[in-house]
Amino acid sequence: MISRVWRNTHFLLATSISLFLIIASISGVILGIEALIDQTKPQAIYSLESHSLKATMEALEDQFDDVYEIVVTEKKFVIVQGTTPNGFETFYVDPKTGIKIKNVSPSNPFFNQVRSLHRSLFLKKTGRILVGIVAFLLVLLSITGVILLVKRLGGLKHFFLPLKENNKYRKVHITLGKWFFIPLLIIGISGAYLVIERFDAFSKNAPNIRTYKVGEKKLNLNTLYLSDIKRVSYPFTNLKNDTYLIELKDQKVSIRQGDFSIVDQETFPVHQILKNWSYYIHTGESNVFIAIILSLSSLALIFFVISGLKISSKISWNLLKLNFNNNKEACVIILYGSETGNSFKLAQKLTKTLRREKHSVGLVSLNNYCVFPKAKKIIVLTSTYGDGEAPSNASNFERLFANLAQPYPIDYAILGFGSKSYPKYCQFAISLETLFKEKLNFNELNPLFKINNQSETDYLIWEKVIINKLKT
Amino acid sequence: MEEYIEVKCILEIVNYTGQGAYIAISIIDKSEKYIKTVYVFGNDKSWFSEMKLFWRNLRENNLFLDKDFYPLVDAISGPTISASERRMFQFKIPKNLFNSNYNLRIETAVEDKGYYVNDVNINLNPENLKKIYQGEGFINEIQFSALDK
Repeated sequence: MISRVWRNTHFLLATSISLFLIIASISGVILGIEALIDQTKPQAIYSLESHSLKATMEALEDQFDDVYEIVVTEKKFVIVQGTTPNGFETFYVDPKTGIKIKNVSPSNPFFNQVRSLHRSLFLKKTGRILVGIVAFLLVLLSITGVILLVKRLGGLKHFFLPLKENNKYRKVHITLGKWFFIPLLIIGISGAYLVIERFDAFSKNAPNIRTYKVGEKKLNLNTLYLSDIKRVSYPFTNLKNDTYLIELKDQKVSIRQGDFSIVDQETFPVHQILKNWSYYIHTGESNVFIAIILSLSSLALIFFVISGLKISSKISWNLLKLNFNNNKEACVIILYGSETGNSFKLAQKLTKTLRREKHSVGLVSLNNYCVFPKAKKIIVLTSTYGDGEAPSNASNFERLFANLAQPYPIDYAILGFGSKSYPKYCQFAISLETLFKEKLNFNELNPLFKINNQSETDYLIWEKVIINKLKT
Repeated sequence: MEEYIEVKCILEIVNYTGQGAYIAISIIDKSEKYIKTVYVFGNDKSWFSEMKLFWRNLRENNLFLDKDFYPLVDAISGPTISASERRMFQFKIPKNLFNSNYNLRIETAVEDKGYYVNDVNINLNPENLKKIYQGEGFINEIQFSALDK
């Protein structure tokens, strides 16, 4: 019962955002690849933490007439803006020598378009909100997915054991789930956070600024490394009181150029630091390993959606069309318990066959078991879920069955679907047989028949037997 | 060859909550016609329309196709400037536009927070380019220095 709630939630979430998920994951793969490409460029400096700001500033003095700004980007590019004998220039530098690596080139318009699609579906603000909601739903989807996964595997202890599953789409879905639910959860959380933070969800308190007296505290540029730095803005003039503005990951410090004494220091609020973390983890711009994980997760998400739609469509399609038969008039009732839709498909097939044989047949799920006024035969087709439990549309049957009595004596036949690779092969069908045997006025029409791995031949043999038995 | 004057500039943004500010620095004539845009902050062009007059000029004159303008917007100009940040940069002004009836207009816009056509607007002459100005909108302070060559 509970499992059905999770499943339906998972299914509804997935179908409602599958289109967005496909867009986000395709664009996500492309952006992940962009992040990887960028990190192999010559201007990506991997030794940022070994260059002190002091040394870098000195190296730049030799190369520039006048330095305006040093920017260390998320992608580990060191960009310097200033004047050289060629005039005002902006280029990537090697922080060790201060020498130009190459000019800052416009970012690739293709990747820009893809980024815009990924962030806002080209819909600006509305798009961002949509994407934010999708990210949040992805979090819920991962959580419900993991709950279903653990249930499906029969508990946490089976998590790392080899998988027994014959349907290739289900196999893909489950295997991907094992591998990728953590990355996808993190992608969802960080993505949603980036959207929330962008809409000023956190009321900004007054900035946390501390001012110092002249000479009270000095900043040691020798122990400050480029890996800590986001931007250094140089003083406008040569005046001693004019300041450097140094922006670090978690604070902003302005220092006098004369003696490097701190003028004021602003520490960033927690939500901004969280945002930086979300950006770091969601974009993978500064870490090859994260970029690879992100790309793979996006790729996995595409397969998730496809395999998910493949395995759920049967159930959802079938559950939608159940209302044709007149159970009140039917003499033969076919009950089905189906998780993936296979048992249901065969139940439908049997219904058709029996109707051709001129029986009046009603088709009902086990959970919709009720009083059938004219029924004399009941045929059950059911699979087993997980560790010998009822499939989701049979979860209530036991209770219903115990409380209801049929007006006529009933001849019954049970067909169980299962896989011999499970220890509890056809367990639910076996449980039903026990119940039926104990029930008053219920007599066996045909003994319990089990079918391994949906064998078509076995089914047809059984069907023939049933047809014959119904004739007598 | 056209002669230019190089102008060094430092600009500081006020403290507000919201996204980064889009900024365009343009030379306009007395009738407010755009002569030339010399610097732009903000590299996501889909938000340029927030700077309404700048955008109109861009569209009416097909500057998107202009070879001089496009690299400027794409490469040199940085991203938007966030609250309470500062930037130092340099731009060129054709010498013949000095001491005539031309103005330097700095317009700013922030998503959902407003648009200032004349955040700073000064007459283009050497005297004016030595001073510090307070902006009317998102610019806290802007200082120029014309570099003598």
